[in-house]
Amino acid sequence: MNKIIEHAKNLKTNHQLIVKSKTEVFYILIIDREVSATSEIILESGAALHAYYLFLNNKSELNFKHTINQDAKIIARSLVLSESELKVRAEYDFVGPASFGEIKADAVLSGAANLKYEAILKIRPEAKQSETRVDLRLYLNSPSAHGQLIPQLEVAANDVKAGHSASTFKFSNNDLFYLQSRGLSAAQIIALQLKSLSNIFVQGLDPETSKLLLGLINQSI
Amino acid sequence: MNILEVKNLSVVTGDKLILDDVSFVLAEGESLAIMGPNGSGKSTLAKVLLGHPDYQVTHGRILFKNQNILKLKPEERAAAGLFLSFQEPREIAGLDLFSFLFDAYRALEESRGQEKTSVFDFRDILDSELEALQIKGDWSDRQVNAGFSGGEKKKAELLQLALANPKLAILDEIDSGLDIDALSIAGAAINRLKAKGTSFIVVTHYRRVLDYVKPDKVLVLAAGKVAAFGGPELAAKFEVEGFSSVE
Amino acid sequence: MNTNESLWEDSNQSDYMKQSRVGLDEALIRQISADKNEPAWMLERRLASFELYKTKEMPTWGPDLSKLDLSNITYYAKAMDKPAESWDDVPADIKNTFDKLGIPQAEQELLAGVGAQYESTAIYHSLKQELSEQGVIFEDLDIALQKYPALIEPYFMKVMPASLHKFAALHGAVWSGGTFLYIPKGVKIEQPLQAYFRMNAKGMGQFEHTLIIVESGAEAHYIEGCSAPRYGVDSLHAGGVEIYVKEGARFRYSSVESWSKDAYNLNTKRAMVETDAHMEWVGGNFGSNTTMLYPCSILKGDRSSADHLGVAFAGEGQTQDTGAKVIHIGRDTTSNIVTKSLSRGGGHAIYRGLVEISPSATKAAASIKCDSLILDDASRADTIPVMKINNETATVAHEASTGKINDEDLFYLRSRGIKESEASAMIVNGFIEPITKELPLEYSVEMNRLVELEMENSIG
Repeated sequence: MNKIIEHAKNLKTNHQLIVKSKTEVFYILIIDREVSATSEIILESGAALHAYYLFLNNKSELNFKHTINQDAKIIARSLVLSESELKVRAEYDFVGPASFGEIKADAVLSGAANLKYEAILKIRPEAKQSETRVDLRLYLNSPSAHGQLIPQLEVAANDVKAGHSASTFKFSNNDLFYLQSRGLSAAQIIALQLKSLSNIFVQGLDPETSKLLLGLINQSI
Repeated sequence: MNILEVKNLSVVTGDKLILDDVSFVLAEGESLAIMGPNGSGKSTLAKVLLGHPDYQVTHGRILFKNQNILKLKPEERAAAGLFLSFQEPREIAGLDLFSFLFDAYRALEESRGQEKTSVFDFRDILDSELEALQIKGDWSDRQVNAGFSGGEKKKAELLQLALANPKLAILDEIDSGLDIDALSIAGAAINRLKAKGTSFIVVTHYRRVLDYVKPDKVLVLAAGKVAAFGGPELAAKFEVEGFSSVE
Repeated sequence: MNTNESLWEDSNQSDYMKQSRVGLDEALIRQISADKNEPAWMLERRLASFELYKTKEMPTWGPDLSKLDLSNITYYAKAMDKPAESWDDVPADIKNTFDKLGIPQAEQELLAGVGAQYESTAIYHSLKQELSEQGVIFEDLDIALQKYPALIEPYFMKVMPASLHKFAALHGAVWSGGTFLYIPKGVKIEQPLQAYFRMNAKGMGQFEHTLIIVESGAEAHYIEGCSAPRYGVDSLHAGGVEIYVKEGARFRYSSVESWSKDAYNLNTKRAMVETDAHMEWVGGNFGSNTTMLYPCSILKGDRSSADHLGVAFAGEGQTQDTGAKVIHIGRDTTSNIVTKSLSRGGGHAIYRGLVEISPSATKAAASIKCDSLILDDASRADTIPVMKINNETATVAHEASTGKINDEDLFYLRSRGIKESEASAMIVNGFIEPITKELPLEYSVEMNRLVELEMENSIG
């Protein structure tokens, strides 16, 4: 398996990743310290990229531009755990026919977190028969946490399937009572939520990498 | 010993009085059926026993094993040995079911000072409980009650009941949404726990569960007040007469 | 099948245009105010708005406005000296146009009252007896300003201040005509109140102002619909609508706008919603060269709520940049946005939305659903929602999808003998049905007809 694990400290300010035609790559990016960078990721025709973006509580400003060519496929997952300011702008530009994109981001905000997350999906006229989706979910766990979600869709081809969603999640009083009456304290419930989201995040990765990432997540809280 | 003593309990939500001077006792190992017309406060009483935040106790006491539990949080009451099976189990998408079951199991072990079970041993325990409840299919990658049918949700409640192994189990309308077969499985599960010494409070509207759980005592509520409290013959009486005499 | 298109071509040029001139300066503003005999405070506000207009920049986002030449527009013209009291008094050529378009006369039972604006001065208002008995005021705004200045002064351009943006400032300086609707406490009006007007003279700007006050416990539904014939010179419409929905009141504002293909439609519509009150916006946007329209609801009071339902159709050479804005401020507020957009023939439909949950907006719930149909491969649809969430107890859910007419659906209808263009029109009308069903019959029929026309043009 072609696997690339990149850490924030090694990230060049202008970083580029090219996924060659008809190859499949797993790309894991761990942002665990303050960094400001622009990432250009290009999928050549027929390429497949499984991207995992993990943001662990730091003030960063990141710009991603993905270009997806004909028959190429991108499956991108982001997990954001933040107590401070974070700005992410992720652009997904579908320029070739029969291209595919499934992009999911979960952001758990606690403390004084302030997140601006833009996920911009562009479907060019040439990207006929493409299928794309962006799903953003925000979990606000403290009264001083703020989030701004902008899932943008720009569609210039009509024979396509394109969609997006953005939503917030909050445990209701009834949800909390249910979980607590089974023996879990409020802190344990938050931990359970994080564990569930982390398990979803590492789906598709080999056990070794999963373990690495889950370890990093546990350390950061 | 009395496992539960409720003394002069009055409960409001906002400025609405829902329970008015309710008193009853339950001896250890016994079963109590709580009956009454819709809106009588049966479900509220069940939730108040576990400390639901939407309800405020304005008067009275709840003694569990001779300890006043009013100041305890829901998770502390669970640790003490109470369990509530919900009438409408919460669907919480995004929460992994297996992790939830395991975390809850471990949380109770920890607060009860018991030795902690490993995740592998827990898997085995879970599998045997799933079999006993005749729950088929792999539940390990499902989310908490999300996408479950009504019957599946009730079975998931019974599963958690078995795993929690409580001293006092409160079942809120366990019989609604279950077909004949599922009801008999539920009855068997309840009696398994009964045999181990668990006391039961069964809140019921349809009474079908009472065919499987013979109550030692019956409490009838109407408009938040106690309308009657007595032996099992009360259940038969109200089945025949209906609740119009107390409404 | 439908000859409305050719009717709109007739320009009905009247000689009143000789009284107007092109371009904007302080002298014109003073003239407008003097002509209308306005209180001093209104002139002061106009001048203050003009100052703001001069300093403000054109918007840096949104559709291309570079071809809009603000110096080449007639900002004011008078059609009649004073409004007509009844249908008979309305000038013949104006009546002629209305007749051709089949506008129902005000005496019809269905309409509670009709205000028709011709160019910049309202010419006709007829208020039914029962309404005036209940204390409802439905009046040309110019006249209402003279009759009820104390009632209007605290509200005028409060929820829509001139400082909002350049076109609000322009509006504040040159607004003319429009509707004043006042519903007293507890009065509930079942029949929809309508105003039907049109822009006529070449290069005429439309700056009507609608001010609506719905007192506590009151309920009403107001419909605005407009159409404008085609012209070579840019037509500019920078109107303003402000609505105040007081405690426990309910109000619906519907509008079907079908501007000429060279018009710029840059409207500002805003509502302030108080405790336990409910506001509904139902809109259809067709035609115009460029539209920028984002009705805004400010959910100020606890338990206030707003629904925004909209359809936008961008045809050849058109940009419909529309959307919705909701600002949640009070506690337990709810908003629901449903928009449908259609683009064909190279048209560009854009949904631009903002849902803002303020820190004070505890337990706010916002739901947004935007769907776009792109009818051919030359057209485009964008969805740009912004969600600003500053309170952790909020529930916000946004869902959008874009695509084309489902081939299976089309095939199904055609296999039953329906022509392709008709089948497409049926599917499109079904797509927008959740919105059209909220409009009174004649408007939903008009909207469906406009859709059919557009579909016919694209295929036939």
